[in-house]
Amino acid sequence: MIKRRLLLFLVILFNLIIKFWRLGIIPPLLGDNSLALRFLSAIVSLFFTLLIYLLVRKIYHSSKLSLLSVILFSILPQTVIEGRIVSILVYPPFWIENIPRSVSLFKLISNFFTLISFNMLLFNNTTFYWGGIRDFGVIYLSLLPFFITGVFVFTLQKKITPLILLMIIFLLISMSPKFPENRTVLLSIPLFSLIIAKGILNFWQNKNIHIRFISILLFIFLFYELIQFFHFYTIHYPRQVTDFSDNIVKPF
Amino acid sequence: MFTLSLPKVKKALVFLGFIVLLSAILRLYKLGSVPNALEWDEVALGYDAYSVLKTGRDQFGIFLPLTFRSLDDYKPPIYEYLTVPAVAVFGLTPFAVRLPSAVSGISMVLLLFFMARLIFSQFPQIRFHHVKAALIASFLLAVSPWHIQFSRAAFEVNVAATFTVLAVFFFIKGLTNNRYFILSFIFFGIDLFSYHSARVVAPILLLALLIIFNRSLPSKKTVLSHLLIFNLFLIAVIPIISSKDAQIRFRATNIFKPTARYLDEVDLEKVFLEKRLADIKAGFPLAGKIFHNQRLIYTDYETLKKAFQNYLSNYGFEYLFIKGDAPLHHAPDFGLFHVWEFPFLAIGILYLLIKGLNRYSLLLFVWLLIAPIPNAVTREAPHAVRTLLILPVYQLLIAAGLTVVYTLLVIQKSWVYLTFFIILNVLFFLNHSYYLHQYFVHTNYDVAANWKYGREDAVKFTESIKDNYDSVYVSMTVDMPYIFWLFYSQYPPGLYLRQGGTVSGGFADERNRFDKYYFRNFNYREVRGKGNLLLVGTPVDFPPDANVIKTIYNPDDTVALLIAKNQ
Repeated sequence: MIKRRLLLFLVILFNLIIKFWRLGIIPPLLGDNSLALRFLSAIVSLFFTLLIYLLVRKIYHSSKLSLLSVILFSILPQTVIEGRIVSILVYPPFWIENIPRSVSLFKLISNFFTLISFNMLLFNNTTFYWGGIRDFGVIYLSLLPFFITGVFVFTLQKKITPLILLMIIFLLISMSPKFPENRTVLLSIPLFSLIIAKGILNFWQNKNIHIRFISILLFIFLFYELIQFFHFYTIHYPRQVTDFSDNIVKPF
Repeated sequence: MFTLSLPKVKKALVFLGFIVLLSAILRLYKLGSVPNALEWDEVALGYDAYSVLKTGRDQFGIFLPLTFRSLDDYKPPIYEYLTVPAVAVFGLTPFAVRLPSAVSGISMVLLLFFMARLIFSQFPQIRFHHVKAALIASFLLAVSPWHIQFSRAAFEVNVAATFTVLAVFFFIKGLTNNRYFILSFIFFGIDLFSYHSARVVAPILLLALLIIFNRSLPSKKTVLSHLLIFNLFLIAVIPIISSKDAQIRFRATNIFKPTARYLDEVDLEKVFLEKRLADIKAGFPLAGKIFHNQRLIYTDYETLKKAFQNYLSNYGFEYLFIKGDAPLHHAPDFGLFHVWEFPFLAIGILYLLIKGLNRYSLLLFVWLLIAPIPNAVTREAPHAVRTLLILPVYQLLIAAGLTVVYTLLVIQKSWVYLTFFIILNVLFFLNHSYYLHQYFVHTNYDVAANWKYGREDAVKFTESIKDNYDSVYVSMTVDMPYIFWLFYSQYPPGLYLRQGGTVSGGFADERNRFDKYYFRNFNYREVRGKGNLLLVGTPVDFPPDANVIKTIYNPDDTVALLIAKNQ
C-alpha cells in the first residue's frame, strides 16, 4: 500500500515537472498571451491524470492496473504535448471546431482506417498545426506488443468496453471537418494507456523466462524512446514551432 | 486426419480441376499482350535466357552464371534458366518471357489445395470442412489480383513464392512421412537462388518451422543431415551475396546510406548536420553527438523507426485493399485484394487466434510476420514485389474466415445460408468483374508508359531504316535502352558477345553499343549536321525544330518516343 502511494506520489511529481518546467518556453509562446491558458491546461491535465487513476481503480478494482495506466498516460507523447499548450480540455472553441459532421461513407471508412493505421499509431502525428509532433505517433514503438496483448486479453475476457469506446472516439474523429487535424485524439489516450497497461501486466504475470526477457528488452527500448522523445521535444520541436508559427492554430 | 469417401474425393478433384483451369485462363489469356509492353527487367531476363540458349553465356559473356549481372542488379538465376526452354519453344517473345511466371502461378494454385488441406485438417470446426476450405483457398489464389498481377509478367519473385510454398508443403508432409523432409530442405535451398528477398525469408522461415514443429521432427541425425543439404545451398549463395558486385543491389535499395535513405529527399548528411547544429544552438553539443551521429546510423532512432514503418506499412488497409503500391504492381485503381475479402480476413485471423491457436496457425502467423522483413531495410515501402512471399498466407486466412462463417450458417435455416451465399456471390462478381475490367482494359491504357510502351515499335522502325544512316544514337532517357534494342531486334547473342557484349547494366552508363547502335545521351543542337545520324529519345531530348521523322505515342496519346534525323 505504502509502495503504491509512493509510486503515485512519484507519478504526480513527474507530472508536475513535465507539465510546468519551462512552460512558457517549450514550446515557445507565439505572441498570443496564452501563458495563463497554458498554465490552466497543465493543471487540468494533472487532474485528468488523477481522475484516470481513480476511474480505473474504481472500475477494474486493481491498483496495479490504475497505477500503470497513469504512468503510461503521463509519458505518452500526446499527453506531454497537450499538457503544455492550450489544450482542448480548457478551450471550448476547439471543441466547436471539431464537432463531427456528416461525411460520405467512403470518406468515413478512409478516415477511420487512417486513424487505426500503424502510421498514426506509431510514427506520425498529423496534428502539427493543432499542436502535435509530426515525428511521433500516439504510442511508442516498444509499447506495440503490450498494446496488441492488451487488446487480445480484454477481448478474451469479454471486457471490451475500452475497445468499443476507442472505436467510438475514432469514428467521431473520422467525421471531424478538420480531419486529420484533430485534437480529440487526446481523449483516446487514457484508453490506450489502459489497454497497454493490461498488456504489460499480462506479460509480466507470465513467469516464463523468455517472456520476461522480452519484457525487459521492451522496457529498455521504451526508456531509449523516452529519451529520444524528450530530446526531440525540448530541442527540435520548439524550432519547428517557430518555423511554422504563422500556420499554427492559436491560442497555442 | 480426416479421410473422404471416393465420390467426395472425385467431386473435390473436379472442383480443383475447374479452379486450376480458371487460374490458367486468368494467367495465360493474352499473356503476351496484356500488359502491352515489357518493362526493362522482363527484357533483360528474356535476352539473358536467349543468350544462354544460343551461346551458353549471359550478355556479359559469363558461362552458365549462378548469378546474372543483368541490369547491374545481379539477378538470382532460377528465372533465367526456366525461361530458356520457353524461349527455345516460342522464340524470344513476350509470351515466352512471361510463361515461367504464369506456369509457376498456376502450379501454386494447384499446390495450395494440397497444402491447405493438410493445414485446415488441424483446426477445430474447420477440420470437418477441410476440403471445402482448401478449395476456397485455392480459388481465392486463382482469382487473387495480387497473384494474377505477378503471374502475368516476368517477376522472379513469383517463382520464388511457388518454391517457398513447395518447401513448406513438403515440410508439413514430412511431419507424417519423414521421406518428404529432404524435398523441403532442397526447395528451401533452391529458394535461395530464386529471388533476393527469398534469401532472407527462406532461412528464417525454415528456422521457424523447425522451432514450431520441434516436437514432431524426426531424429536429430535426420534433421542435421537435411540441414547439411540446405547448408550446401547456403554456402553456395554466401559468396554471391557477399561479393562486392552483388552488394550493389543492397547499396541501391537500403535505407542506411545517405543517398538511399530518403528517396527524393534532402541528403542524410545534411539532415544529421542540421540536427547537430540545432543541438549546439540550444546549448547541448554533446546531445548532438549522441543523438544525431551518422556513424551510429544502425542504432539511430529515426532509422529504426523508418525500418519498422517500412515493415508495418505492408499490413496497411489502403495498400492491401484500395491502392496497392507502384503502378506496375497492381491493376489501375484496384488494390491487391478484393475489398469484400477484408471482413473474412479479420474473422479468419480472430478465429485462428482465439479458437484455433496451435502449431499450424502459429506457422501461418509467423509466415505472415516473416515475409515483409526484407522490405524493412529497403526503401520504397510498402512493396508488393519484395513481400510477395507472403502469399498464400492471406488466402489461407480468408479461407479460414469464410469456412468459419459457412459452418455457422449451414446449421441455420436454409434461407439464411442461401441469402448469405447469394450476397457473397454478387459481391464477388461485382468486385472481380471490375478488377478484370481494370486489368484487361485499363492496364494497356492507363499505365502503358510505366510498362515502357513504344520500345518495340521504335526498335522495329530503327531496324528497318538503320542502313540509311552511319549510326543510331539512343538516348539514356529511354531508360535502359540497350537491352530493349537487343531484345526486340533479337540481335544474335554470339555476334553481340564478339562485339564486346554488355559493358555495364548501370542506369546511366553510356558505354554500351552494338551494330550501328550507340546508347548514349546527345545534345541535338551539338550533333546537328555532324554525319548522318538517326536519333531516338524522349521529348526532353529534342528542341521544337528537330527533324522528327516518327513519333511513337502511348495509348493515352502522350508521346512515348521520338525518332529524328540530325540533318
